[in-house]
Amino acid sequence: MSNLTGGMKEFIHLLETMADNKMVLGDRLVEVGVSGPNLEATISSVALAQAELGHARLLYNWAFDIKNSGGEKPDIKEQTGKAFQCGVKIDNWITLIAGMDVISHAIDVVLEAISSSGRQELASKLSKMVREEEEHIMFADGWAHLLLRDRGKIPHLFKEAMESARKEAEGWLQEVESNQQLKQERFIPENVQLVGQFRERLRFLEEEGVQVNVG
Amino acid sequence: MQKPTTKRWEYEVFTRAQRGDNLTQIGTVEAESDELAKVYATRIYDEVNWVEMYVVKRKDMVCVRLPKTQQTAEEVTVNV
Repeated sequence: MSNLTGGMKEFIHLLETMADNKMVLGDRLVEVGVSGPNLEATISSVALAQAELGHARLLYNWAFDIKNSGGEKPDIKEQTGKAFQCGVKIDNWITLIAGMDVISHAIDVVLEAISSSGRQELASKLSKMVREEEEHIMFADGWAHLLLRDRGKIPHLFKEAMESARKEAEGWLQEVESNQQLKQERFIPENVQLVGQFRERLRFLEEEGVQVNVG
Repeated sequence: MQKPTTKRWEYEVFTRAQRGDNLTQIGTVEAESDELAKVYATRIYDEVNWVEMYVVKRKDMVCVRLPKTQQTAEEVTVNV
């Protein structure tokens, strides 16, 4: 670990943050998703959980390889403590969809930034995950629309959950975006606009009355 | 009783297992949008690594022929 450059250490931190979030999301998709609103949503949640856990393993292993120059991979049993609270605290379908939508979009803009950093070895490692992430986002966006158009208190509760999750994710994206070591060692592009891209992704929520551009 | 605010549509799921195979109807999913129908079909019918998969809203299928017992009164009149 002592031979690692500052940028590599930051990159390991970034990989572990994404892995933690995916691990927590995978766990919540099973725990909460199993009592989803309908059979199709339930089966899809559990299936998507497997994919999230697979992504988490890939990211943990990648971080491990950078730290240790290969060797036998450890068995990951719990997150390293970097997961967002909006993921850790998911305990019902509303917070699950809000957390999944925000976390998936936030991670996706970071993955896209890494892929477009100009380092081909990073892009090829992530290409499959980026492709699969589209489906997760389609599921979360689809359910976000449904919850915002639902009846009673549901739209209000969902907006609250989205707002809280969005703030947390934007804080993280701001940190990544302003990390000079990641930029200097070309892990992310110099002119990357993660927060701007993230807000643009969630622009569709504005039509449903959720604020997405407040700091 | 309150009315539901979102409509669920029935979609037919069609797949092709390998290139050159027939496109076959393998089941149905119910979903509120085309996007969710795509995710549901992908995740529910994942027993084969299909080379092609389609979801088609049942209401958009153009009927050419039905068994006599399922014909509507209007269709029966036309046929007569």
